[in-house]
Amino acid sequence: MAGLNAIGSVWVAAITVLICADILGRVLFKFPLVGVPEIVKVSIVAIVWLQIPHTLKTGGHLRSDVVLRFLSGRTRAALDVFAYGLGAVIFGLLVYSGWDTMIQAWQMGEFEGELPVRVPTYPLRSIVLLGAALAALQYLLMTAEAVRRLVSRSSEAP
Amino acid sequence: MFSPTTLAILSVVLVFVLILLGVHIGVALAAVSVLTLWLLIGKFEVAISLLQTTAYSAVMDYVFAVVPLFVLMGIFATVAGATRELFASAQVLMGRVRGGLGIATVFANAVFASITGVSVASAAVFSKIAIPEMQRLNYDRKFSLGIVASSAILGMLIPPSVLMIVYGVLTEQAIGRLFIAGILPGVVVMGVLSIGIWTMVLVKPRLGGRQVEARRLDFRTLVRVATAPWAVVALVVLVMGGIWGGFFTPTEAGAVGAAGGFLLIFINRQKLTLNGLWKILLDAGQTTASIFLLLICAQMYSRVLTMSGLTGNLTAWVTALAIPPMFVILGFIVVFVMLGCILDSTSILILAIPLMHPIAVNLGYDPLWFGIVSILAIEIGLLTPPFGMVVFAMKSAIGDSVRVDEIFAGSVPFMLLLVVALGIIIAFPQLSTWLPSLM
Repeated sequence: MAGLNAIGSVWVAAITVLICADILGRVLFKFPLVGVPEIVKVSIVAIVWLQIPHTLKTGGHLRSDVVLRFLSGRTRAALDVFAYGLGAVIFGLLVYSGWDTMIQAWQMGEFEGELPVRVPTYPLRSIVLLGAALAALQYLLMTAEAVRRLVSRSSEAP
Repeated sequence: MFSPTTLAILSVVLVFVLILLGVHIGVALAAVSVLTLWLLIGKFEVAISLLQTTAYSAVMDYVFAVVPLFVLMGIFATVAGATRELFASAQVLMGRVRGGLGIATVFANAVFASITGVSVASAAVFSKIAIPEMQRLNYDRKFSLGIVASSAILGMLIPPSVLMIVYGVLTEQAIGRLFIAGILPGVVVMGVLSIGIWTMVLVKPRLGGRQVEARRLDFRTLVRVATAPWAVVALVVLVMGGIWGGFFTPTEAGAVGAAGGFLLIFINRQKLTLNGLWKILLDAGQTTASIFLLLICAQMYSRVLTMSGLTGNLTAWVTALAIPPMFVILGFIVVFVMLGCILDSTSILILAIPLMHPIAVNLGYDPLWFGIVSILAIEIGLLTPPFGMVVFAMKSAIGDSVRVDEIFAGSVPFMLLLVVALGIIIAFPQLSTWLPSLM
């Protein structure tokens, strides 16, 4: 997943270069690059979904620990099972609900944007679902880990 | 079963419950949105398709590229040692002034704020460079902690700012105009904090430590240190001036900033290994992704709230209340500060603004002004226990030698100063609206 995050980050670097080239072209040679805004626009979606799973894995997504902080290990483990399980369900549903649209985009060759800059949407829709699927998987792993904590604690306590 | 409005109110409550139970904030928003939509229209398939359409289209816009680009700019500039330079420069310029080191911290923070978009970054960096220096000069410990915590607020108020981007996205305001709107209020906060520090040291000299022992430098060293951060300042002027003058879109300004930040590393002759670059890129990816997940899920939530009619009904109801409009705004500020006890700033903005913004606009307030007021109020709330993100960032940067409650205690006088600044910004909306009106 770190690999995907890195691809996303390199992609950001590429966009930086692209936009700067566009500006330089405009200012120095009165020749802006064609379609940079369109490319940037679709890139952002891809970048985000490439980065979401790894961020989840490293605990980068925001949660409030105002209540959690005061709980014993076992109650906390139980709440973690719930919180991570819900995450798995939501990202799972995202993949489920987007599946047909993605297949259609592959088959029909759907495009985003106007000529001359038309970007096919199937890679983009696939990346969104790949990111969501990996996030769901990561949530499942975290749920399993929380369940393990819950069970081991309950067996220790009489 | 329920009227749509009742359902929407229940859903807002449910979001809070889930968040308090420790569900990731994005997940809580998405889950409640889907559930509410399902109950509203009765079709599960349609309700879950909200997930995939929003996931795909919510951030598909040119303007969203500002987030990763400015995040990258901030990280590059930090690696380039910009903060240390800025602090050293402000220090020699302010060295002879009463409480000079404290004021230097505020000034350096203000300039660094125009590179970074997050308060937490400022708090962490300045805890490491300003606090040891203040302790060397025997500044009162809590006093110095309070200075760093309160001036970190400038990070979110002075553009670029992640909170402004989020506000702009939620309310469909131009992000460039919001950025420019933050400049004068940022200067006001800077001024109020500086005057406050000066006065406090005047009244209680003990706070400011041993003034006499501040280093005396010969003129040439002084000029050299004071002008060392020229490249950083030039970059800031280029980026913000470019937005203001209309040369750049905010996205282009972000790209120029990121590229400039990268060059800064070489101008300052800092070593950058491939491994280091890799870490920077991963770090930037993390920050970006967590903001974007919130943005995506916030749009689901705000779509559902609008669909349920809650937004419209609430606006109509509050507008019809027979109380002065300013009371409504003050009420919002109280809500922001209270939410600051349980949530971080981005989440507060995301939960509250879709409901509050239409009301404020309906009452005749300027959306740019309301944005700046909200952001400052939310940031003040973040200095209050128990969930002061800035405070925890400082704690983790300083380590075991400081207790969280010491930082909170030290922040109290500065919180009062910030409230004064907020009052000024509320009383004079021109501070927020004048510069953007010239664009």
